[in-house]
Amino acid sequence: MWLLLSGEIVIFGGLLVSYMMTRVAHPEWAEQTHHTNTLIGGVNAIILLTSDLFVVMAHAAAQKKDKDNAVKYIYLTIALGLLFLCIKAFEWTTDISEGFTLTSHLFWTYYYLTTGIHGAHIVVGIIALFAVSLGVKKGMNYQRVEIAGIYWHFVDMVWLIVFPLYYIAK
Amino acid sequence: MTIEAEVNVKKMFQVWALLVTLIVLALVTFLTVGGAVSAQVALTLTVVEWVIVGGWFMHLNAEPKWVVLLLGLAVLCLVFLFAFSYFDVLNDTGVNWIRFNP
Repeated sequence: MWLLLSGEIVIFGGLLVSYMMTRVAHPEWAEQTHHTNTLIGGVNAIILLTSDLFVVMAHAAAQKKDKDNAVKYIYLTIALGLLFLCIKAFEWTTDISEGFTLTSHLFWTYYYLTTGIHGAHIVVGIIALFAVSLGVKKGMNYQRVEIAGIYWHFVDMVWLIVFPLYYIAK
Repeated sequence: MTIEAEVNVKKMFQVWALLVTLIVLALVTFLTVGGAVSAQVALTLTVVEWVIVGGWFMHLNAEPKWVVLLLGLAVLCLVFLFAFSYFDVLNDTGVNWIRFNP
């Protein structure tokens, strides 16, 4: 898992640092950045942080071999991940309906690419957590809760930098 | 491999509350101050949040040193990758290119 995450650091880091460099070179992008919804970005950050707490609680339950609570907290994490995706879909729909599409400006290309790749990681995390819950339900592979949790925390950490870069630095 | 650290649920609640407070602080700074100051505050708070999430939720503070070194090496690769191209990006022209202004 740590090896995978070190690769993810380079993937997300490359994308985010290239955005930062291009943004610094183009102060006129402020015109575009004003259209992102900061409140939605903040709410999504809090949702992911809360899902982080639930995955930690699932890990704590797994350590005690308490499979009912472990599964319950995994499902709560998945639910918050789905809520995050629903809010993101609403945000994207609003942006597109206002004419801000992938090709309308380079800022929006970065925005959709970054949030899209992040969203894809959320989907992978949800699938992984669900797969882990199937094993835990049978009283097996409790250690996988921690491993899936570490991945989930990393995906949250990515959002913690996407939020200030795309929603606050206007 | 990760080490099996005992999870202290009460402490994790406190960590979560602190993280949410930092996000709210970034939002309040954006709404009240705005501009470059709020961006600087938010990015500084992000570094603090990373340390907290990495240290407590991912329990990097209890992992073997090689894990931290591995992640640090990935960050170092990233720094090198961009450090060498940074000054070119800030230029308007290079040897075989001119900056594209969308």
